[in-house]
Amino acid sequence: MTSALVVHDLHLAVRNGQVLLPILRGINLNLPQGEIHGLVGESGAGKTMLGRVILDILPPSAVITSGNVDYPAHRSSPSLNRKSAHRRRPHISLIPQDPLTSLNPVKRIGKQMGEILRLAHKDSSQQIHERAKQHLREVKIRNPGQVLQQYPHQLSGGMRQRVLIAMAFSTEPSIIIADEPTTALDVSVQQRVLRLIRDLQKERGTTILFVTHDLGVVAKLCDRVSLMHSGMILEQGKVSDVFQSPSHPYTRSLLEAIPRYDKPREKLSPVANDLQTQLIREADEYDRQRRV
Amino acid sequence: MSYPYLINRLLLALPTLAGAVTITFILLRVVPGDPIAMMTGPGATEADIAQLRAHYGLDQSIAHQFVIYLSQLITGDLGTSISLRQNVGELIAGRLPVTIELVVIAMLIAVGFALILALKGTFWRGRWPERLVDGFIGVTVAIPDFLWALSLILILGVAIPIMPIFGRMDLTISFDSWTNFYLTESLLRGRFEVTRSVLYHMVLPAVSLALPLMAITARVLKSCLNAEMNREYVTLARTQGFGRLKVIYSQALRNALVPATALSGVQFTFLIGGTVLVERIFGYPGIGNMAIDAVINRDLPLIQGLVLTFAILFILVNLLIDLFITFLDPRLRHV
Ligand SMILES: Nc1ncnc2c1ncn2[C@@H]1O[C@H](COP(=O)(O)OP(=O)(O)OP(=O)(O)O)[C@@H](O)[C@H]1O
Ligand SMILES: [Mg+2]
Repeated sequence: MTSALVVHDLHLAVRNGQVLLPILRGINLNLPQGEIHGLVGESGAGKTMLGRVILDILPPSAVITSGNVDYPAHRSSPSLNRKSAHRRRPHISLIPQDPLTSLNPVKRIGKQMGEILRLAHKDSSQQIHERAKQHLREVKIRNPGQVLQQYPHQLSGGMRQRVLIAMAFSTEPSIIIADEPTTALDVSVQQRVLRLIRDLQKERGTTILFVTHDLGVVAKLCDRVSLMHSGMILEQGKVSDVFQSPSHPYTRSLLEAIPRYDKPREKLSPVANDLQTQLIREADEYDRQRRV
Repeated sequence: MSYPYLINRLLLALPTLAGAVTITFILLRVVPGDPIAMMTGPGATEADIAQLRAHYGLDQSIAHQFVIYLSQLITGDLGTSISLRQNVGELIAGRLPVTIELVVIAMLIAVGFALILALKGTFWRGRWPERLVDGFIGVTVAIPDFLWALSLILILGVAIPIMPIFGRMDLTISFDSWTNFYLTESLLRGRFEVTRSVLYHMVLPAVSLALPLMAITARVLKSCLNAEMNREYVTLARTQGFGRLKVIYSQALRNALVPATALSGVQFTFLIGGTVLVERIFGYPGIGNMAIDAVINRDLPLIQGLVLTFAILFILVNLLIDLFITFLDPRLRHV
């Protein structure tokens, strides 16, 4: 199958005064069309930065020092190209982490969705309104007419995240970056939102890069997974393989670190300090070798 | 936004007004200076002066004068000007429209250019044009309105005399105004030659008043915009296919205006105070100019009336600013 997204030996650094601080160190990814790819790693590993490279929204201080991002499936099907011809990339949507701060607080939901739809469709306001309603129905919102009239602060967290998912899918993207889309939600809402994303993805064959801290979510949702630390991918493979026989000690310790509700007496086991230190030392070593 | 809220706000303004009236009344009668001595020539006899004093009620105790003043004020009577011998209310009503039109135009200039500077500065963030914008704001903000007035007169009135520097309009045009809102009225009545002349005369005083306000507003708005550009909804909008400029003015701007208006709102009230010197410099016949004459002549009733007018304008501008913020941010509406 053709790849939807290929990241090749990507190195990224942020400029801090005169020095360049490495953030991503040789990332390789290859996502076939229709795959849900889990991206796991602790805070600061560079998951969001990787997503921003793919989305082409890097902060001004970030520089790609080598490597590239490619969309092979998109190149061979120029019909997908209509809206973003000037960018030479397919439309890629983002499902963000924080559903409150990701919606514009001073605009009604209907207005926000309408503005996005208007970029792609030359419709009358009435038609745009109907389209927006339809997209909200697809994310299982029962009173779309009312929600369109409301401001973000008048909706619950789960509702806001549904709206954001509807927005993400409304542009008919071929790739979606989901950056911890359920972290801010409570457990039962989380499950429903995850099912929603999976159902929409199945229906449309969207390729998803799913960033998360939750290995349980990866097990349920993803086809393959990459484990990241200090801007490097330590392990990559099919979810079942990685979970059954993890090859990297970091993966093993992550799997052990999952707290188990059925064993409340077991003590919490964070990733061992010496393993952390070792991984950071390896990253420094990598930087030194690249410089020479 | 509801009527109870508005009525509440207006009622809350009453103590402020009462305070302003009381303090000026006492201050004016404690500081040295005698209105009668100012109006009578050196040849006046003791008896003349005493008679005038009694005529204007100045021979009474301060407390007694205050009671008389308040009882008149409640009926809407602001008293009689000592130097002009006319009703203070009518005098102010005649001059107030002049100042209101000047201030409104100055505010429009300030806000318009502040918006352009802040938007452009944000659009060029991190590149040399942004530094140019910052430099311009930095220089402009440091110069007060009356210095702008004097410099503009020197440059555009004296060195290259292309702009009128005195008065409200060409004296050769005769315009029999009903309201004294020359600009509005001439537009409505189709007397465009009057509109032109009034606008032409307004340019320099309005620009002098507007420049410092523009600079401070642009600086505040630009920093609020920059903060807004780092918010997640802006990042998300960038992924949705909006152009760079569109993200700034259609997503970030309205959010940035909320704190920016709250922060720079007080500057708009300073503009009213600024009219005193600027109107004087340009011989502009508004209440600011009138205030200086009133002070020179120790015209107590007129000063008192003008202070009350300024206080009401301050309160109204503040109210408008609050209403504007509530209009911008729906989260403030439904509490
Ligand atoms: N705008 C920025 N400018 C400079 N450095 C940044 C910027 N954003 C992130 N970084 C740095 O890049 C590194 C990776 O950050 P990133 O946000 O990608 O981590 P993450 O894996 O998404 O973490 P989390 O799980 O907390 O979201 C961090 O060291 C961070 O300090
Ligand atoms: Mg992140």
